[in-house]
Amino acid sequence: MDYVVYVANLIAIYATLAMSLNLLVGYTGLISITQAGVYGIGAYITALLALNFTPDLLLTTLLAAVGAVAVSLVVAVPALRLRNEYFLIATLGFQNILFSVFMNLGITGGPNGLYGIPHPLLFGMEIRSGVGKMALSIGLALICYALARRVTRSPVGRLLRAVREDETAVSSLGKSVFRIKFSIFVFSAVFAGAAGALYTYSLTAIDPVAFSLDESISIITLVIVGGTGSLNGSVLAAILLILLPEAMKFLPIADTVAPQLRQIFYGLLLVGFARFRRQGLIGEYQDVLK
Amino acid sequence: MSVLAQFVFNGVVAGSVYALIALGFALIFTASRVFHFAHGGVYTLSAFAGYTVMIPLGLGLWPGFIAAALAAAVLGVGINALLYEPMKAGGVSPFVAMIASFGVLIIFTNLAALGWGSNPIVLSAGGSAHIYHVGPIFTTDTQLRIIGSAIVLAVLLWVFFRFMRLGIAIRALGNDSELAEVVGMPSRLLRHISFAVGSGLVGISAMLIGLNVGIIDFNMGFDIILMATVAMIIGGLGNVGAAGAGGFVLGLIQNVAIWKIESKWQMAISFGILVIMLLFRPSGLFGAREGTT
Amino acid sequence: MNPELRGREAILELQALSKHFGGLLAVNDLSFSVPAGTITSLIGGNGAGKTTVFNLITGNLAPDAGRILFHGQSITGLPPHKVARVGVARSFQELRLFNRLSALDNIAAALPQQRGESIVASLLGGARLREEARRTEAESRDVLEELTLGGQADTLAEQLSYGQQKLLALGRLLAAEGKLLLLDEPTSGLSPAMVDDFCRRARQLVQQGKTILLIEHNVEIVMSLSDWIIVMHQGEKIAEGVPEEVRHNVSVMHTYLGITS
Repeated sequence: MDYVVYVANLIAIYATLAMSLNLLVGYTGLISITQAGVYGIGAYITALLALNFTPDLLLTTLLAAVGAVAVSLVVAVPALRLRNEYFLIATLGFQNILFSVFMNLGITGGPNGLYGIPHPLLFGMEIRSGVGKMALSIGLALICYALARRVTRSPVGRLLRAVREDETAVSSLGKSVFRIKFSIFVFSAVFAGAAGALYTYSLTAIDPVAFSLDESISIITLVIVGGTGSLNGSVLAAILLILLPEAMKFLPIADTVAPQLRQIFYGLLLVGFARFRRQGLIGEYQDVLK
Repeated sequence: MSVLAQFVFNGVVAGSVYALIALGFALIFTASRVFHFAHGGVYTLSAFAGYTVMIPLGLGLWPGFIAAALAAAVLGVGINALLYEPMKAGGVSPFVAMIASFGVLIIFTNLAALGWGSNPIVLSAGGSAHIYHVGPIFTTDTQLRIIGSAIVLAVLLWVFFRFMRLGIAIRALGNDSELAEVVGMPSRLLRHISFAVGSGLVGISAMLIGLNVGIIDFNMGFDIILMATVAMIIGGLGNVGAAGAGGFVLGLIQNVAIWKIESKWQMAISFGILVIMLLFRPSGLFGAREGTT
Repeated sequence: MNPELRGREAILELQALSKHFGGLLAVNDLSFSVPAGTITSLIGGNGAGKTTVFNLITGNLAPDAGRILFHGQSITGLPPHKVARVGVARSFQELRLFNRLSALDNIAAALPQQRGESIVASLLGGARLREEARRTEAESRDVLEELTLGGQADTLAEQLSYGQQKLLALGRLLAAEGKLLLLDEPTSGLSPAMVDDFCRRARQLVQQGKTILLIEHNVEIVMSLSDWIIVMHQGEKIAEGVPEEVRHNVSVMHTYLGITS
């Protein structure tokens, strides 16, 4: 039972991450591979606050989101000046810098990370149970879904897609492409940071590997497999791509090779979908990634 | 002062390593405009192929090198034929190819772990390394071989791209496929040749580097392809010689930096340089301008 | 300048504008002005620098030298979205539609000053925003109806015929509500009936108070539509005048310089 709850919790967190990244990749055409780093900022801020000050859920999650936004802007301001492959390579650079910071800073606990993080307090009430934490993560995923849906269906969503299609045309209509990209970066980072906070409380221990380049690629895999420009697709992909490898645990596979098989599975999905089904499972259009 | 000299020399060795990888990586980028991250996976698998022929099969050093080069060429051409070419024909952007290439890198890295285990494996040509003293600097024969190979390959590729018809055609390919057809070779074949040559180079490099370090492991391709990316950006995109030079610059900066900064920050420094280059000189130190909007 | 045009205010003025790419001088010391309420055409052979002039005006390129005035105010060096906001709207030779957006959304995205185009506002929602969305949709439908694209509102731009795409691009330009319209080859690839339709619309727009600066290859269209014509060759202005003068000059240049337009 605990295991089912834990998996459901992970699914909710990854669904949130995939949706927040899809806003950049699928809707706006910004292929960022810094998402794990931004998510990690939220996780580390939460862990440090909870260990040193207070595990107040709302306060720490808020500060995690603020921190994630701040770091995301450090990435966005320069990276948004670059086009195409250069943007992707710049976000690759930032991802590795963030990972290196998590890995090497004294305050982040280095490779061992941080552990013994207290359970969160919601209005003074301690949430200890896995079910409670799962409920929090599902709550966040629902909020993220509802708000992202609202944004993507409003005029600003239309503008995001217009930017994805043709930036030059958007600016010729008197609309600032930079402002649009900038604001969606902020929105995306809020949810990545909050997901980091809940991840920290769910595991009560974090280490840098959870926020590495591999992890960024896993999140982008969710977006591509689910379908760029489809929030439902991102949720579906989070469910399938977490459940399937978990299901493999019940097959008679040696523990020593299981992580590798899981990685190979993700790699095959990434290659397969990029090659044969670019609209993803339920994506809007085939070639959103120009 | 002698410490600094040693750091500079170490930088030259590391730079040669990066240059060796960056040369093939840039050759492939020049021909196909794809950031071929899977190159790191080819590097890893070819090192294990070379190791298998050399040690478990006991066939010796040269067959090991040949096996590594052949395995790498087959893998590289295979990736191009099965993945990039069909995507290109379908009008898919290099962007998607880049993402797919990451997928292949992950697959190859983990296949290496499945096939040869996740513990490092000793790769040695037997006998102990000769250590030379040159003034204040210590070096070994494998290090000298790496530096020599990097320089020779960089010069050969420079001559190839500068003066030979095939090289000029491949260079034209990145900018304009039709131009390349002028030399009478279909652009698809030219790209296959580039993948074969670029990958063959990385197979040889993998053996050289493995012998220098003394061990190989399944993760070795991941970091090195990231460093090759940095080297290519430092040097300048779409220019093979420049990427090689970028490798030397990167190796020097990394090793001179650890004279003053703890070595654990090497990765952050390298990617910091990457970001700074992209922002202020996206054309690279030795390339033509392009990049910002 | 023609006495009839002389009295008009210049809506756009280019002063000694130059731009080079590498060794190539694309625009060289170019000066001209566009009188308000006219159709002014920019003609010249391929590579004369016409589209470069458009890109300089709209801020997509920065000039190496010279100034650009709009209503007497300098817009030199402004980024494209700011140039658009002061009232310069443009169409592109290669259309640049939002291909995977519906025809309706292509128009709606162009309507200026929508509060709902901010993330915060769209999250807060409210009656005013709903009202705005309704108005946006109604206005966009009107534009489509007017262009006889009413039946294609929900069709993706990339699935329209070329003629329809051209119309949609024109609709998007009109929705942006510029005072000065820069049109780059608006009739290329159109059927004769659609060309006539375009000419009628262009005259109508001028009557409504717009000013048009036109790049056009079809000499007949240029002669019949234009109030004023500027002839460019290799980045320089070589002649300007009312159609009759230019027709004469162009035939002279044709004969002696081998310049085709």
